[in-house]
Amino acid sequence: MNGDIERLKAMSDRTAIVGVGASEQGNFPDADPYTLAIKALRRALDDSGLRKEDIDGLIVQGPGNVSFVRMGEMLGINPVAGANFDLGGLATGPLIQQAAMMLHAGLCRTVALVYGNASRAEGRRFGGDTVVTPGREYSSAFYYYGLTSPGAASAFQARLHFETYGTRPEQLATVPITQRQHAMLNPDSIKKEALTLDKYMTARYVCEPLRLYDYCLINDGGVALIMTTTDRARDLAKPPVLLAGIGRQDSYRNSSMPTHTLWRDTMPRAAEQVYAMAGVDRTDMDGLMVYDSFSINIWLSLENFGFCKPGEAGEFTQAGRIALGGELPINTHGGHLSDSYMQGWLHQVEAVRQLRGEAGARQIADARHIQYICRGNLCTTMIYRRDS
Amino acid sequence: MKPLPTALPLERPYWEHAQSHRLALQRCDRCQVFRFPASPVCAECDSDQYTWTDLCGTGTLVSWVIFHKSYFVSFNDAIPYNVALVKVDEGPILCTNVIDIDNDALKTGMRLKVVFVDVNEQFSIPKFVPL
Repeated sequence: MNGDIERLKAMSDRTAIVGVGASEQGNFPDADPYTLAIKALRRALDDSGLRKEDIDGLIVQGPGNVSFVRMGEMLGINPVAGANFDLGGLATGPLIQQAAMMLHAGLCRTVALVYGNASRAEGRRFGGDTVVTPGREYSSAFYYYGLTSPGAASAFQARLHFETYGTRPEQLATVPITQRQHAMLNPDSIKKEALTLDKYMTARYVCEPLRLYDYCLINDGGVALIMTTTDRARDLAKPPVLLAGIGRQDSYRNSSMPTHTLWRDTMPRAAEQVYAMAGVDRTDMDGLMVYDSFSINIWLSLENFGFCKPGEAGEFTQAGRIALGGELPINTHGGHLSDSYMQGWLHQVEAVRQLRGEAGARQIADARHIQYICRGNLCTTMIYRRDS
Repeated sequence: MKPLPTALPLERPYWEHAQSHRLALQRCDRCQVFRFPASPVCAECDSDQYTWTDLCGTGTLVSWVIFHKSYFVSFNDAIPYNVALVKVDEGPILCTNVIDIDNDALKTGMRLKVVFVDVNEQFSIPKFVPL
């Protein structure tokens, strides 16, 4: 078992998300990440009933090294501690876990996690000769072979899956098609037109075997979360959503290349940790929020977290199982594929809204536990629990 | 011009061997395990003694993708091109291109052998062709 499970268990349910907020999501040519993030922060503060002056921990993220110091300067605050971790979507889980640790250890009382992304406005490219930060060597170490982009790394995974298990693109299509159905129920999502199997299969390849609809959107927006300790949380505006479990397992070996192991040996350790800490099992999950930069992420997350066996995700995801009303709804907001590409932050917002019963037409009935999973060479997972 | 390798001092022997059309990797002097990419220590046994050792030059195809979108202007004319993971017979997995083959003919487990493409006076890049 990873870490010291008794100490982790002592942290279970001791911190909570008490406020969530998002700016408008879309394409805003004059946008900058700070303005978008601050819009979201105001909404998250309003949602929680807290004020800017209550923030004593400031965690900031966004493509292109959005600065937590500059953000604090704009907001006019001097928190006890700030942090950033510019690893793109791989950092979202680690930053929420860091916030929980800061709160539980007593370093801070109220942490604002603020995310701004103006990738569309800035013309940001996720591939080509761009500056690549540690953690993403797999898509940047071999430019001389033309290997670039996170999508290509995921295309290798899809190829391995298809070749090893005989799974098919028509099965993978269920992921984007289902998430599009979810997005159509979400008034805030960007993509609202129906996606059919025919439309999926006839769309162009970006990096074969992945097609256009296997890829996330690139757009502008901001997201913010407010976290505090559970005892404080219970006095605030909305019912707190408790952080019941966290798990993490990194994979550094062979990380310069697209994975050839599909992280079979590492990701299950994050799963073991999170369920032990939260004191629940995967069968207790009412829904999943899965980091979906690419559709294949859903398959690897389901298999490596034990929802089905390796090779079975193609079949497992069929017949409505991952759709609203099914046994295990996934990305009920539409995810990165159809809602908005906020690198995992809107997945947290959706988890909170589901557990509060605020998800409207896409509400999971009586949701008590929602799990977030981000696969990869920095695998993180959280289980959120409705306060009882 | 296509991007060139940017080698750490540690990786220079790889490219010096490639210049003379030899595929060589570090081999641990203690446990005899080959490694790639380059490292000052053996990930298996932690020894810091190693010898750059020529490989036999053959391997098998593990996985591959085909780029239909160009991210580098210098690759525009190459579209659609493949990038592959090849497990060399000595054990490590290399990233490469498979050339002299239709992309549709690529097949998991197919046998391949290394060839070198001279890019300039400094760099010859290892690629693979069907055996």
